[in-house]
Amino acid sequence: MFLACIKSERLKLKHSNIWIAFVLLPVIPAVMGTKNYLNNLYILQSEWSSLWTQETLFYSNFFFAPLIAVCCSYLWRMENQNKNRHLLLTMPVPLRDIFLGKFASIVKITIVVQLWIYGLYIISGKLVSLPGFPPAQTFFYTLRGVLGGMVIAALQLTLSMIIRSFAVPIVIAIIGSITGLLASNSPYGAYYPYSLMMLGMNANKTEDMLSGSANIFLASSLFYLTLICLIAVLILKRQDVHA
Amino acid sequence: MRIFFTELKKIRHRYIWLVYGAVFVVLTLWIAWCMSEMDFSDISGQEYFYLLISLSLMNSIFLPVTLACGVSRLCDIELKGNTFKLLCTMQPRHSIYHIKLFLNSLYLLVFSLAETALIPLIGCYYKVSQPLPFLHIGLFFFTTFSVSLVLSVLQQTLSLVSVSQLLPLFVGVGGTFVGIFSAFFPSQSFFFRLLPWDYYFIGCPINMYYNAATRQTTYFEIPFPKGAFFGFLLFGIFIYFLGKIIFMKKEV
Amino acid sequence: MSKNNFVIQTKDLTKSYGKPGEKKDVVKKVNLAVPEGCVYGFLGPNGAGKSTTMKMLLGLIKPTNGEISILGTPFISQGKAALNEKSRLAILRQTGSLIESPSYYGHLSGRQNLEIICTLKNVPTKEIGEVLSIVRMESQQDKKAGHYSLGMKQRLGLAGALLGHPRLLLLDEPTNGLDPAGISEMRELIRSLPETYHMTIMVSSHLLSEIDQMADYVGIINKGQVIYQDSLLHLHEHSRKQLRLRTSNNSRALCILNENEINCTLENDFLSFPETSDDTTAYLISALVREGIGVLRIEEYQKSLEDIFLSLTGKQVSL
Repeated sequence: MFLACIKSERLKLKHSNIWIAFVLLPVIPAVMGTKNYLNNLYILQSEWSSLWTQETLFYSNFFFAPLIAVCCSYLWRMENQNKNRHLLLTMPVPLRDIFLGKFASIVKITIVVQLWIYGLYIISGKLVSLPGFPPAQTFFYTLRGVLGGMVIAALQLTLSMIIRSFAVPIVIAIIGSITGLLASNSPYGAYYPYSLMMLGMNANKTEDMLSGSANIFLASSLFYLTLICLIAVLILKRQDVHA
Repeated sequence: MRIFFTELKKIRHRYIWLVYGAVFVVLTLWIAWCMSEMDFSDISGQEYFYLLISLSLMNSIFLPVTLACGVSRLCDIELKGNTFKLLCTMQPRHSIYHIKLFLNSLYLLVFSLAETALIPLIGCYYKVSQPLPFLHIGLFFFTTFSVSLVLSVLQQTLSLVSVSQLLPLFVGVGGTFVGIFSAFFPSQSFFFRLLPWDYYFIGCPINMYYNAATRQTTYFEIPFPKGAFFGFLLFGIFIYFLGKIIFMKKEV
Repeated sequence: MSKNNFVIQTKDLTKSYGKPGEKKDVVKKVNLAVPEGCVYGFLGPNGAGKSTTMKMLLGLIKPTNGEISILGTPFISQGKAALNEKSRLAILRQTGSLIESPSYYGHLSGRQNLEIICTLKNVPTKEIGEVLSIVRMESQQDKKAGHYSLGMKQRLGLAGALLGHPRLLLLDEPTNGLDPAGISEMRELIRSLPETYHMTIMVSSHLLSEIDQMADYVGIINKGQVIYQDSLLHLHEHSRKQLRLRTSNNSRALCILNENEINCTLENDFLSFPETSDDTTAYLISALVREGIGVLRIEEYQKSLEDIFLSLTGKQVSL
């Protein structure tokens, strides 16, 4: 049933051309990050690691949350239009799978965008003729970023489900990003959902921000993921459906 | 006037002011946090310049996508209820376009005024030593309001045309992105002057120079880029007419 | 009819909205009984609670109180909002529905919309061709659903509801937006479904004439309460011709008619009884005259279904 939900979400996203945005938008931070790197070569001297700081700085701090928020809003907007919530919730599939099916689509997008960002990182590094390949650590950061990103995705998906507005959850994502940036520079970053992605990506830092606190990061991410998904499914079960 | 009040009635329960209000509150908290963390000896005598450049930077980060949200919310009521076909039979089409633009510019005016008022307020609260630079604060207000207005014309055009609202919001996110990076290219190359989202920063009368050796930041005044800004406003007017033509031609 | 033959059964089904103290019952103690293999017409003026009731049957809205049992499976008992997910799925697997206006994803074609439903219902996609031909929209299947006319969307919605051969079909105002030809086509289709596919159909409408032409059973709901529920035939019996008689001594005449085994009632200042043959009528009149009762008026009177409906719902509705 879960697979059926994932498949149906894929069918719904067909022809929405949403992928164009996910291909084009990450190019901006890659190009500009590289340019910033080249302009400041005298301070940024650790080659691949320095380039990483520049490219992830704004991508994970300001850009990821709103981008994924737009996507989550779009997924629920389809259901809010034309009384599709009636249709969706009278299908013989568990409510849990309906939410998780949507979540799976968002996770898929998150992974693709993360890999694309990583690909852009390598391409831009090669274009400015950095020697060899980036440290394996950066790829590990990218994977950690996926986990942190999943927390934000689950939160945004739930917000969009409840609020039924296209724009408001996106504003919340922006505010979440700012507060997340502040929180990630404090000792409490790992406890705030919007900070997890930045911490995971090791944004704008050369030394590992999570050295010593990796367990907390992992536990916090899994805790929020479970909690948010449980709350979302509970709301779906309890709420009357008005389309 | 009647149309204006109708428009006000339509946006009841939409809490559009909340979108701008929430962003304003967050900006205020952020700038207050920055000030409280600040070692004032570093920026002694330049506190207002610091505030001006920080707020310009924050504007360029958050306003593009905030505007996209606010405008989208304003236009989306018609798309959701499919009311264009109703409205177009009751009022001239251009008035739909104009009234939404006017209403949004009111929000922007309040937002810009509030943000401008924030500068002396924070200055007083932290008892800064620099005398109030009236001219610069005036320019800040002008930049914030006019750039926001031009960007909302752009967003409105996209929002009225896009049924899914995806395009305008992605443009907003992209604009935010461009805005951030503009701040990191002090060269102000010609390329950046072509991007409308950069003008929050381009129109800022202050610039800064970071000396990596001494780890000192110096703020200095720069002449207002009259030519570039004039070009930008012309661009705004062009988008306004273009948007109007597109909307007038749109089939309902 | 034994209890097991009811496909839908509700007991004291209630839904109220609003704060405690000033609660408003949208649906009030509704006891539905829909027999298997019939077309059940759910009739009521706009805003009577038809859609709310049907949404509760589908689990979209949680009842404030009452019990629901569908296809023999208890769905909600004792007004517990926490419904059992397993029975919900078991019921939904055998149910097709079309609630309020039809649902569709506007950016996808009609066929792609049905593919999504097939995936979720776990039904092979080859059934799509079949349901498309049932609702006669094969030629339009590759157009974007957002560009369909209202009637086409309604057909698409019905096609989606028919996928997977459900045993129970809940249709809320299915003829909305259809042109006259479409309405009669839809009516024929609904009429034929119980026999061809062994389905039970609950169809709601605010048009009496429509229900009259397709239903076997009728439930009439008004202001949240079911005020009539029985076979359509029984409703028609109410509309048989009546004779009205006014005499100089009505109570005396009532006795005489009753002695002659005529089921007669006294209403206001006249007597009314079911139509009799001409001979019987002549005989009765002469019997009255023999007893010295003056016959002042005699008239034939027919109550229409509309009259019955109006007297039941107590208000002028669109008919």
